[in-house]
Amino acid sequence: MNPLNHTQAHHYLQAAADNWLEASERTALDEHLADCDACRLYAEQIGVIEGNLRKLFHKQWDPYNARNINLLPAVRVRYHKKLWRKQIFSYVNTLATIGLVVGLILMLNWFISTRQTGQPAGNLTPTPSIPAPTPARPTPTASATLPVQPAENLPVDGNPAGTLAIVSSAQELGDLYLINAGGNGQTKLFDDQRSLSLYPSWSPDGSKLAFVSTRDGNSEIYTIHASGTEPVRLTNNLAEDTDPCWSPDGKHIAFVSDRTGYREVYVMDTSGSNVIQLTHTQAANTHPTWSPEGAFIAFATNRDGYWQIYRMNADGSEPTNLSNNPTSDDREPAWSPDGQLIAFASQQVKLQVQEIYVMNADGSGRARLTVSASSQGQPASDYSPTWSPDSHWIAFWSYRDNPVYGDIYIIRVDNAVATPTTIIRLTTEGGSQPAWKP
Amino acid sequence: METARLITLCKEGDVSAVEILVSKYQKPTYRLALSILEDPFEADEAAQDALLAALGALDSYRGEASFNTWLHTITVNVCRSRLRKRQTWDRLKNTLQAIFRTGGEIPPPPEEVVIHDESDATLWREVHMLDEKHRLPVILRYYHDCSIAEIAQILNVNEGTIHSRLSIARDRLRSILEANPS
Repeated sequence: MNPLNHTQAHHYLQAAADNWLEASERTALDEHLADCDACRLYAEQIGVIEGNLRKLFHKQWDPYNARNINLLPAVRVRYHKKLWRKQIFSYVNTLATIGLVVGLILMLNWFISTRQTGQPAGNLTPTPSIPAPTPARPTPTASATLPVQPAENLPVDGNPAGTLAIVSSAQELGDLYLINAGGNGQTKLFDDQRSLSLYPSWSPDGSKLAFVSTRDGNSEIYTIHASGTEPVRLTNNLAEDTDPCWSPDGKHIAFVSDRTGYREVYVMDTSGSNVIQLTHTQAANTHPTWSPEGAFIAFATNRDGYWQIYRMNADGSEPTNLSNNPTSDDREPAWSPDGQLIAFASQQVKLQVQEIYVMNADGSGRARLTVSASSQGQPASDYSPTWSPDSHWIAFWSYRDNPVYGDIYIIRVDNAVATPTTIIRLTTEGGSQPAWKP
Repeated sequence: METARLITLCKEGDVSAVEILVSKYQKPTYRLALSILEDPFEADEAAQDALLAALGALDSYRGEASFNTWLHTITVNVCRSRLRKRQTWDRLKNTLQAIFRTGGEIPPPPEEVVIHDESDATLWREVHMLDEKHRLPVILRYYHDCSIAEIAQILNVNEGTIHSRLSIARDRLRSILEANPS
């Protein structure tokens, strides 16, 4: 190894102070120090500084350290406080997590319900969600708009006959009324100021009505005599049970329930027993309607991503898409008493309004019956078609003249492709969800 | 009871083990805090803080360093934090005194007063003239007898840096001897 210069020697001396010097470096340093007075002095000074630092630090601080240091009592108290705070935080955290999860579930539930119904969950009014008439939209085909006549001006020949059960929405709560298809007379079926009564459906002999009531807190299916007496609750659960439809033989009632988390079609005996789930989808299935001989049930479903009219066997088998029309949302089917036609409400994808259509029972011959335009010329949707017993008339309700409560109208249908000639307004003070008595 | 076993019991929530661990390490913790903060009362609080912080962080202790070194690291960090607060407060106090002229001479800390030997007083002053990054290695090396490797672990810098800082510190202090050969 080459002899060290002074700078190298100083570095080696500093390294030696930190025990960082290797044996060969120690030898080289010793050889340099043997001949260098200046570096020996530097080495001595480093040694003195080290010694003085040790002495000084001990002299300054050892007296304090010699005392009896006892931090334990203070640490013990603070440690237990910390544990206690940690425990409290843990409880709060757990509660917050549970709250968050519950909140997310509720939000998810609300979101799913909104997607399925078009209105927020918890709104027990099952009135179809429609946009309020907006002034921006032109009438789709104004030339086809039918003149609306008051009921007293009905043509003498071929007058519609019979009785309709309707939901009067002129008050805050929905009540069931009976009205005359000829346009005169309106009778309140029963008094119920505290709850909603909706979705009336006649028994085939016309002696009873099935309907939905919220009188027990949520939507349940009830039956009642046509006189408005002897209400009987058929369903009893926390789910929303709606859309009852009496079977032609009078022994069963099809209905819709979201008891599985999805709105599915069920059937039960008229006593409420023997409930059988007919549809099994993770989608909405609504508005079941029986074919007159009772072999089929038509219903609306969004299982394809858009609403279509389906038909299935009465046991739920072989569901078939009758609409086959992806450019429209088809809802609220009603099978004609003669079995030939199915009326339904349909909204073309590009339009904001819903019209009444009919098609043959096999899905063919789709034809539009109404062109919705309000009396002010604004678009207004039509809902809930129901057939007269002779299959010549369809009643429905619409916001076309009464944009707040809606009213009941009837229209003549001679056959599936006939051009309707007359549209007649039956109510003037609000009405919806008509059901024509058989 | 050996430290590893004590630590395991503490992690499992054994309160007796916690008390034994605190009893065992309170003195070296206080000693280190005092040497950095130079205030017995503040050292007392800092040592408590360090022990509590160590107990709270036992799950993160993996045994890469000795427990003593790991605890020293925590203690140094606690003390550094207190030093920073103290410096901020001192600056504020000096500023206020300058504005309102309420001060006069700031009294020297009590430790400085008890040094009667002039050479010790000079060395003490020079040590305090060192900035924190040079003073801490000196204290750890010459009062706590830590090796270069231990100091590097405690201060979380590499060994070469510690050697370099100690060399600079020793050279500066050596200049006192050259100026005062007596």
